[in-house]
Amino acid sequence: MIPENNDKIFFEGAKENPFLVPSGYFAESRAQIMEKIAKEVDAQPVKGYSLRPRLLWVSGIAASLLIGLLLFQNLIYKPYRDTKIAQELNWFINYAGSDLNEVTLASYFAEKGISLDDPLDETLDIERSSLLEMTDYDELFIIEEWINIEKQKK
Amino acid sequence: MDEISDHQILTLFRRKGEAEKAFGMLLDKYQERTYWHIRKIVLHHEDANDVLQNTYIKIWKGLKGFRGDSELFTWLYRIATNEALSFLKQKSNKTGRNIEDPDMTLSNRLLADDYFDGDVIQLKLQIAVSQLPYKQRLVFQMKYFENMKYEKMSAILDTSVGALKASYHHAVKKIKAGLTED
Repeated sequence: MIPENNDKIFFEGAKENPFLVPSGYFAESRAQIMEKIAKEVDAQPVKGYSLRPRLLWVSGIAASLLIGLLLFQNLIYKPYRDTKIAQELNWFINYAGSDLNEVTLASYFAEKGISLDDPLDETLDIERSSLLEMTDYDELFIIEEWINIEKQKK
Repeated sequence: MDEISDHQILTLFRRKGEAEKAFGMLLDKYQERTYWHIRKIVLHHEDANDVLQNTYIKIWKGLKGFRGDSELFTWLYRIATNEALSFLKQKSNKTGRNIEDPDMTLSNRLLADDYFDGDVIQLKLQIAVSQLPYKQRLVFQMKYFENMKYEKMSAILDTSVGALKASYHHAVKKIKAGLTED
């Protein structure tokens, strides 16, 4: 029965848990998880060697890997990632719908690991024309305004 | 018997040969709570069971690298939440339905579910909650059903307390509207 006072939606019974679990479920679940963990442990290789000599040759090739990584990041990954961020941002705009606001934006940015230091302005500029085709100007404006405000706070 | 502390669990976990024992203690302490948190997101027991198992495998793999930047509980809950949401997204990709779209079959599916024992009002509430955007749904569930403080929620969801309060306020308004609809 809905209470007459519409301000009080939290009536007795609504907070009670209506969901059930099979009898003995938690004990069985614990056993299943521990069994899977035991398999994980068995699958790990046994380490019976000294780490030091390996560290020497690992550090030797690490420098060349680092150079390769930097080249990859700047020449291949960053342009791809910038486009990918724009694509994901566009997906998010449509996904958030009427709930596009600073709350949902903050959550989205945190979830995706997008930092305000990322070149989002450049990304938005590059992809603006395609974003505008798929959303409306107001939504894009909300995002840009929010980014500007957050950057000023820093 | 006093409940074992997170610090004790972590200390034992890092001791050679004791990791599995420590993990068992962690399960004993948090399994049920994480299950119900997951269940309220995915709604169905079989789905919650799958997500719970995946969650704890991830926790096992990640526990070695846990630096204690946050509380253990916060870290666990964050993994459980992300796993549940990933599950919903994967499910929606398979069905072609956006997870933010209202699930028109939810009422029938819950009524047919052997592990749902709610009355009409509880059914209406679950349907109203399921129609919230998923982040609002999370905030509402954690605040209303789990009685979690905003500060704890903020650490789990990585969102400011102010934003969470606003989100909860909006969720309550929408649910009120949903409950008073015929």
